[in-house]
Amino acid sequence: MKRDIPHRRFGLVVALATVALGLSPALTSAQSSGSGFSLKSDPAFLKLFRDSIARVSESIVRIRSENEDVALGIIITSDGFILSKASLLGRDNLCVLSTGREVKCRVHAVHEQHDLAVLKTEVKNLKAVNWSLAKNATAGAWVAAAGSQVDPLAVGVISVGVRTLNARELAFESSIPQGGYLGIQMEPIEKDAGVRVTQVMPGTAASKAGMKEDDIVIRIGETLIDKRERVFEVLSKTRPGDTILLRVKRGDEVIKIEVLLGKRPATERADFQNAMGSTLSQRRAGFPTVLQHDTVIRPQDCGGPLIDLDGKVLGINIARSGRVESLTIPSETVVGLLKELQAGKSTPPSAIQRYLPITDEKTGGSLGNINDR
Amino acid sequence: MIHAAPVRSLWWFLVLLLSGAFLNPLSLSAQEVEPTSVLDKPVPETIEELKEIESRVKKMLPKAMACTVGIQIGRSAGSGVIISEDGYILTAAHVSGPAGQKATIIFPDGKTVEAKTLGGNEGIDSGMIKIETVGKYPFAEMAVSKSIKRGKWCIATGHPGGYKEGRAPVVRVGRVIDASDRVIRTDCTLVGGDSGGPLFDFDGKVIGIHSRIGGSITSNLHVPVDTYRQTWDRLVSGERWGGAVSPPTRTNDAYYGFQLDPDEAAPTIKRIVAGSPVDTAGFEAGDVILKFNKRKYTDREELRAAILRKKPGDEVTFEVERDGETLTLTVKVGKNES
Repeated sequence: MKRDIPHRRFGLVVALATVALGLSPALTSAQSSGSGFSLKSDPAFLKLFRDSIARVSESIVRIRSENEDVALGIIITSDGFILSKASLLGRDNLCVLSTGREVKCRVHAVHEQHDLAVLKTEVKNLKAVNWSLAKNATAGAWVAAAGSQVDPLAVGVISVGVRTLNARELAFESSIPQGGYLGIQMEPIEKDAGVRVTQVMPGTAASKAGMKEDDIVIRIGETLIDKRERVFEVLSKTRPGDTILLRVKRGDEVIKIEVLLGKRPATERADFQNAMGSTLSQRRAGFPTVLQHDTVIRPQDCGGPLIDLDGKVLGINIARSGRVESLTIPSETVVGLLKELQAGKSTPPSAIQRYLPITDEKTGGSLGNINDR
Repeated sequence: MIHAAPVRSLWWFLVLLLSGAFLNPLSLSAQEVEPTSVLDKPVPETIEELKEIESRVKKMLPKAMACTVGIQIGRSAGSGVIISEDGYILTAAHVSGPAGQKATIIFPDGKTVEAKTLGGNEGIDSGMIKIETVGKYPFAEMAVSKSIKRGKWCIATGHPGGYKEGRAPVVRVGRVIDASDRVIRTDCTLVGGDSGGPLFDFDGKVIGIHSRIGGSITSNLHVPVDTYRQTWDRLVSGERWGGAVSPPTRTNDAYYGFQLDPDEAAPTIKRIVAGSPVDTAGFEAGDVILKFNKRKYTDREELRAAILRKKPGDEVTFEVERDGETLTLTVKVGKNES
């Protein structure tokens, strides 16, 4: 997200409760613009973390896709396995080592729920990272997000120690509409499976693709649509710019509609406040176990390590999730997933499809294809 | 980093101190003056100093977290801090709302007690609540906020996003950017749910109460704690004062031809009259108004008033968001015939 989301009126944040951090007198533009004096952006302060960063910098790579820096990565074995944030990667990834050398890498396995990907490169003798226990990192401890520079990308403190979300919270977070945006309102249908489109928002992806009110969506790609939540689930695995194939009942006919998904507007989730002052990661919720801190990282800083003042790696930065929070998957959780990921096992198995080079139009992508039956 | 000229005379140093504010924290060279602790320095200089800060934060946190509470009033969620053993809670006026309502207080361990809202000063956004369940509660002392200056280290706790089961109050550490007797601004980031939560000094005393945020990541505003002490009796008695001025009524006949969606918090176009000035200008339903005549408005009533102040024939510009893009539309204000 390159656009800076501007100043808005304060609104709802959580589903049931008004959080109104701001019905008070409007701020003048002098107060609301500019960065003020913050130690966290003072180079003299950031350089205090240089020694800690230096201990880890050889194990950090930059990942580029389609000629852009898309993510950071952490070298996990000396023979070329690299860990990163899956949803930032493309089909064609290049790793830039700390020496500046560029090496091709391919996605080897993906864990969708944790949004982690292991990549493989053919380079040997790399400097693998040493993971340290995050469970001892308690609230108030200084932490830094490391990247490819000598200075940290961002610094702050641990806000909440390692926490595993309970089932209800995880389910709620996973059901929050994420991913590519259609632009329709739907209602369930009583007897049959499917959802009825009650409104197609003007100018949206759905509108441009020719969807109409009263269309009944019965399939998206391979997935049968039985309820609205199913649509959110499917969309949460997509990104703006993805193409999906819908099977839709219109009147007596069943027709195929191909939709080029758009960007999810901030207004939809009514989460303006969280978007104020920094850019949030697209995939930013639904991680089972996280370490939360108040550093201000950018979406493309994810995939790099979070370190403490001693240079210990506490985990992999996985999301800028809100105005007050950035999330890290703790080392303990990462290490528990590495065996399967290094063995090439993706969870779910289909999750890796979107990262494989397209060799054949009919097999590329798990979301369906216009030439499909 | 800006290197200011070193302070050569002690006299100048005394003048700066008496003036009551560090106008520029970098104007005193660290070599000329010996600060008493790392907390007084413009910038910490060593990792040891960072560790000292960390250790002091960790030392005050258990008590600070114990008296940080979640507050639920009807469908509203916010935060607060207990400042007396019998359960007086400081919060924001926009969290406590009118006096005499039932409130549920949530402790860090999830335990809840019942409480009642007391008074509030809507102008400064101070509010108070009293726990009704009899007990002895962990509490924090109130500091004196009048001496708070730019650069002061502080710790914010609260429940951003609302209280979450199993999640302790969320900790942020930062420094005061600006302070007056009406508002303290810090770089401790805040977001909805934090309202009413405490800003502590490193001694664990409450210096402010979270109130509101602005567009910038460093625009985090807190109510200075002194006002609670100064207006204690009014707050305890349930008085509510300092309310915002009521919105101006329409005085002219400007006509645009759009209707905003009342269910959307951001000013979002719900309906456009065909052939109206905004239709001609290219507005579409779903457009979100970001700016009017190049100005951002955080308050919807202010935006509405500004729009209605224009006269038929005026040319105005709207910056809107549509599909993730920003567009500028020029509207010739029409005349309300009816």
